[in-house]
Amino acid sequence: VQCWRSIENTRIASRGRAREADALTLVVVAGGYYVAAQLGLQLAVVGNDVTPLWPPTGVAVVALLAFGRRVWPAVAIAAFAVNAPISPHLGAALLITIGNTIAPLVAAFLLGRVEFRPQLTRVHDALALVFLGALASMLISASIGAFTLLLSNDIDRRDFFETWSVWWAGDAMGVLIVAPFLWSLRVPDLRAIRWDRVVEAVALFAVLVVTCVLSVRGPDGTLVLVLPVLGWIAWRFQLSGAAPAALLASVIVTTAAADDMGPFADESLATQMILLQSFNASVAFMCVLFASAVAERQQLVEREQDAQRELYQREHRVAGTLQRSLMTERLPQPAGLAVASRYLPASTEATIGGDWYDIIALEGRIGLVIGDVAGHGVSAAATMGQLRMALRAYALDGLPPAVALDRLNRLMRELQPGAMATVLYGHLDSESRNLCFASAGHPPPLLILGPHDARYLEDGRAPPLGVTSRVSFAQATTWIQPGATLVLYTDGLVERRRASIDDRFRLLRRVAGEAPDDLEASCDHLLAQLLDEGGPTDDVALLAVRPLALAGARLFLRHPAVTDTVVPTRRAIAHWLHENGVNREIAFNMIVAATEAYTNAVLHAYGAAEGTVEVEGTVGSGAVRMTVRDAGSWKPAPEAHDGCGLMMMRALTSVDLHTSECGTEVSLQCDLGVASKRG
Amino acid sequence: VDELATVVVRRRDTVCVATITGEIDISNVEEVATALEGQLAEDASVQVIDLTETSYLDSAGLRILYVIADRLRARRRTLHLVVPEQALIMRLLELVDLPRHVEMHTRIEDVPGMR
Repeated sequence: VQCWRSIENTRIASRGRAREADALTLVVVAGGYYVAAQLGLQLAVVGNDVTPLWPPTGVAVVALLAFGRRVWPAVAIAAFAVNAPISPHLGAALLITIGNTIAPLVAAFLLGRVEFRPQLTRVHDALALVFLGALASMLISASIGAFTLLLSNDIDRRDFFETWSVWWAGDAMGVLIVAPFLWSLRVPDLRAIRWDRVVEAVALFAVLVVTCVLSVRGPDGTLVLVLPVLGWIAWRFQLSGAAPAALLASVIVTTAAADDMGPFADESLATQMILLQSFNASVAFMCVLFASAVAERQQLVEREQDAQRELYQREHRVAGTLQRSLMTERLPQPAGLAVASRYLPASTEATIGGDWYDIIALEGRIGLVIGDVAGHGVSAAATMGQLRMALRAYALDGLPPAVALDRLNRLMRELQPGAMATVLYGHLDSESRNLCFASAGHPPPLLILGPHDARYLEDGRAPPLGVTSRVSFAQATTWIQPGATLVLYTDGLVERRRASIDDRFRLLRRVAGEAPDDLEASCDHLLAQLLDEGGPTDDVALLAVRPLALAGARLFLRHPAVTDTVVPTRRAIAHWLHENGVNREIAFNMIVAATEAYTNAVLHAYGAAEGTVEVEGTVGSGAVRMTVRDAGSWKPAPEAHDGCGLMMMRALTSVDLHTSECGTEVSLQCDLGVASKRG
Repeated sequence: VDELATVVVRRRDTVCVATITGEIDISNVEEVATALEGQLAEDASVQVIDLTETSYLDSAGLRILYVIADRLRARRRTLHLVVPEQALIMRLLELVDLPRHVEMHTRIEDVPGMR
């Protein structure tokens, strides 16, 4: 009960606060209405009651739209307070008050029906305000007001139409000029203020004031000069500039009319009114319509730009995904060849393209590919995928590089007319290390022979694929010495805006001559030295291959049979296997087996006597073979754990154990074909 | 031990962890064994040998793991071994059937009492 009561109390209290807030709103609205009316009366052309601009109608419409219809009593009370002193009698004041209350209520209702938005950022809103909020609704207050004056004999029947029209125009202008001004008022965010905009606004308003003041002092017709200035402000600042400008211009010109200045001098009241009302109407219509039209157009442009950006980003994502799915495939690690590769997608815009590289294991040689499909985005990436697969197929058929490129060219002109690509395809012979290659318009490969010694392989050139069907592809052959590095790359590495391509090629050659010995590190070095910090603007594909110095070489070690030699022997075997490109897993198996064999020989071959152990290794014909040989007699019977060592050797390799009176020879063999499949 | 391998023994409450970094072969197996014996003398309830950083292990190295596992079993305890998932030496442990005689973990955090 206690709890319930406290909730009830809170409810009553909050209801009380809501009532206070309501009351405050009503007071503010009534006060605003009254002040606006007094200001409007200051603008009266003659006497106290003929006002060309009646601001309270604008205040009433804004208040009813902002706080809802429930604030109508405030409007009514304030209207009565304003009208009572200037009306012929209390009854007339009451009738006029009814008109002044119903008109903005109708305006708010009609604007609500057409989903009017006071930001006036759509032409729809401007038209609604002009025709429904101002011209149509204010017919009510003007008609009730004019009839009241007629019935109370305050005006003559001949003056009825003039009175009615002035009333109508004044109320309508009150809505059109004052309401947008009130809507344009906002508390500025001081942190977001752009000072160039502030300076521009101040300058334009100064021009406006000068133009207004000069035109009301000049001869008839110069008033129109105000309009282009207002148009300019509406164009640059939309409602937030146009609404205050319209109010300002209207007040200056209306004040001038009240003072009988310039174009208003020596004119009858009726002419003055017509002139003034047409000016105000032009100002109000133009500002509201122009500001909303510009705002709408701007929004449209922004939306379009957003959509465009979104489209770009999506294309970038799709192309990137496609490219990655094609490029993340694991490349074979050919024996005797160290390989490092990089693919960097373009960092900006939808410029991911059709760069690719490939390594194809062939019979007795290795196929090396680098290519670049012209264009960017999804279609380039898709074409790249097709060309890559087609070239793989031709390569596996054993076609020489020039023939493979010729086939690829014909295929491309058949399948993708209009597409263009540069491709370099080469065969690296595993035994002789001769590179036979053909280039279809691709940047020349770079061969790094040693420190400060890099050169381009300029031969074997032909036009890009897809350009012409009548092309003969040249083929060139170069010997790649062990330890030398062959660098294949796409133009993203060398091309740079505002830089001569010759300079860039020279730079690449110089940087390559300074590259570190480690192949992975040298790839990083090239990219770091040639690309900007923000990443590449075009795709970059990079493939570096190096025939290993020990590759293909026979391993031969002979050490004294002491345990101190176990570690150096194992290290030498590991290095030799690595240089021969034997994969990590197979190399480990071979190292374990060979070390077991070597350890057995060291421990048991010679007993307490001295002797030596030999290790021999060869790589070739798809297998790595090692032999561990001693000249001992193996006198002591093997203990249980030595059987364990032999069991391990047998599990990891194919073992052939041969013992004679001359000694023991353990032959170990690992199949590399199995290794690469497993890897 | 020596530059080929280092053995670091640390103890946390009832868990004793020996971390072997490097390679074990015939040339250092005795030193490694001696270092591990020191750990066995302790009364910790969970004995762990962390092989995460062990890159090479020959048959002699495998044998000392067996010996330690047997000795612990005699005292009704289990040896915990930590070997990462992709480690090449895992193949060797499997060859000698060691995983059946010890408790295997891929990360030191998985050992009871190490979280």
